[in-house]
This record gives sequence, C-alpha cells and structure tokens, in this order.
Amino acid sequence: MTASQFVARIRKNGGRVWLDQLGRLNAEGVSENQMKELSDSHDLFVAVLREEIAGKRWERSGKDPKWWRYPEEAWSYPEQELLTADANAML
Amino acid sequence: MYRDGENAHRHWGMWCDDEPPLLDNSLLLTFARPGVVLFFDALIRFHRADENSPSAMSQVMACLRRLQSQGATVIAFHHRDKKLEAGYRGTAEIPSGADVLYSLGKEEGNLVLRAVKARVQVDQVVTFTADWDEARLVPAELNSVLEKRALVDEIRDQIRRNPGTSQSRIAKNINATLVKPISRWRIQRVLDQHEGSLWRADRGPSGTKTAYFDLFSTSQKELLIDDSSNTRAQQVVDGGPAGPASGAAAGLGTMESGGLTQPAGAADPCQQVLPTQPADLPPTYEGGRSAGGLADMDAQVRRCRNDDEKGAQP
Repeated sequence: MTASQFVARIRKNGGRVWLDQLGRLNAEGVSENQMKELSDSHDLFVAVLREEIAGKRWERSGKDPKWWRYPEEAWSYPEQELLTADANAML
Repeated sequence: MYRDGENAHRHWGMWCDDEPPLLDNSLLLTFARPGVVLFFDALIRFHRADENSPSAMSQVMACLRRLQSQGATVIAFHHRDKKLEAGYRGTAEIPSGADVLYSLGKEEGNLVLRAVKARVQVDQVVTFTADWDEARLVPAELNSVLEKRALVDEIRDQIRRNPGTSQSRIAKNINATLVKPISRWRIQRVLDQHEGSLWRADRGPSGTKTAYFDLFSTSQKELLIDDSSNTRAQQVVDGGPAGPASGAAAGLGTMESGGLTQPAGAADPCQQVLPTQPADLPPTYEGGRSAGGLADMDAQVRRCRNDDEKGAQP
C-alpha cells in the first residue's frame, strides 16, 4: 500500500491525518498500528501531505505558476485559500 | 561609496580613477554627516593594520568611530573566523569598537544574522530567505523559533483553559494528536523558562511544581475592568476606605489564576486603592495601556475638580 493510499484509508474510516501550521504531522481517530506506521514513516507522510497542500494552494491560486511565492501566512489554514491583505494582517 | 549629486549614490571601487581612501584619510570626513550611510566592504580593504593586534585594530575602530561621531551611520563588513566560533576574525578589539555586531550565518537554508554584541536594543536574530528569481531577500523566520513560539502559546493556552493543571496533563494534551510527540523534558524546559512571566507554579510539600496558573488570563482582565466600577471610583473620591465594592471581595476570589485569596481591598482603612489596581496585583496591561485605567482616571480627576470647585464656593 502506498502512503497516499494509507492516508486515504484512514480518512475513509473516519480518522484524520493532517499537518498543522508548523508542518507537524497530526493524526486522530487512527488505530495503534496505523499510528505506528505513521510514526515509522513520518517523513514520507509529511511529504505526501505537503504535496497535497501544495496542490491545493496551486489550484486555489488559479493555477498561478508563482503560487509558491506567496508567503505561507497569506494562506488560510487548512483550506489553503489566498487571503486578502487585510485578512492577512489579522493573522 | 561616494555621493554623486545630492541624492545619488555610487560604489566607490578600485576601478575608479580616484581610488577609495583608507580609513585614516581625512577625505572620508567630508562624506560623514547625518543621514549618510557609509559601507566598508570589506573592512580589511580599508586599513593596513594587523587584525590580530589589539592596539592596531583599536586605531582602525577609532577611525570608524570618528566617522560615526560626525553623524554618519557606519556599516563595516568583516570576515568570520575559520572555526566559526567567535563570529568575527581577529582581535576582540573589533567588537569592542562596534556598537552592534551581527554575525551572518546559514541555518535551515536561510540567511541568519545573530547579534554577537549589541550596545543598543536590537533584534537578536534576523532571518532572511533568498528569492533568487526576484533577486531579493525576503524576511523569514526559523522553524526552530516558530516551533518554540507555538509551543509556548500551546502551553499557555492549556494553562488558561485548565487553571491548576499539571505538567503531565499539559504534555498529554499537547501531544494528543501529534504523531511525533514533544518530549516532557522540552515542555518542562519551556515551563521553567517562562515561569513568573507568563504563568506561575504552585509547589507541593516536597518543592516540586504541582499546578500551573496563568498570570494574565482574560477572565482576570475582565474582572479588573469590572472592578473599576463607579462604586469603587466613588469610594476613592469620597476618601473613604477602599474596601470591596460588594461582599464578594471585589471579585478577586473567583480569579482563575488562584493564589489571590486575599480580598483586594486595602488592609488599612486609610489606604486608597486605584480603581483598576487591586492592592495585591500588578497593573494589567492591554495593548500598551492600563486596562480601563485611563478613562477612569480622567473621570476621577474631573470629579475631583468638580468637588474642589464646589467646596471652594461658599
């Protein structure tokens, strides 16, 4: 099973796997075995979820090729929508 | 760098007919004035002294100081030591002669300026990340700094939500969903570092810290604002004892932070208590001003003046 399949399976069963704003891997509603798997392959799952976030940001930016140039703070979390300058100032 | 016209600046390099003068050349003094920034890149190119000689380098630094005393801002670029220990190369006379010394390094892929010496209040760490496409430096923050700040916020949040919580409970709540939990040791370290500034700890019979309380919880602020009611202000104006406004010990008995079991009223009947400041609490600040204090103080002063005027009338 690939890492993305593993994440998809957790989500299908009602669990949650996500990165917080500091990029730390969090999980909720997962079994002990799944938690061990997440811990053992921590960096792999972080990479998968970062890829997922990057994909969302790219799409939300209107597929702007310079999507990554916006600072991290300019995106809402975890929806990954680009914030206006005013909203960004409130962060 | 030299001035060409009133506002333009140009690099004064070795390619110019008139080569840049050494630091002891009085020509530099004609440029040194308020509003002018002089860059020396690198410092070693502007003197012939031995960098390891304290007496020689003190003279070099005195030249820079002379330019600064004319009102100019002087920025000198100097090389780091090979072992990257001291943050600069050569004698300690170099940092001694500077007001602020930053050491430039690379951490987590960012450019990091760390203050080695600062005679004035400056940021200890300044971080940039390079945007090569745009050829610019973007202010950034180190993940380690962000992580630590987030941990402090999380711990503070836990203590605010659960006054009297223990270290183990804090660790358990913070690590509830983290796949890689934060160690108890690290949490303990943060708790120790900010004890007294953000929270306080009650100690058990053996001296161990058993319960943590927030020092500046929101509910505390609200109570303090409530405490500055008209009744309390009126008491102060009347010169009467500043006891609790009601029988409930001025609301302080319900404070989350605990330990405030004494009523806020003055022990001495003659003692006057400011409306926003209970006798046994430090003033609460909210956005750089005393919470609710200024408006109350104004009203109080106005009331005192009115009373004085009334009293002066026959």
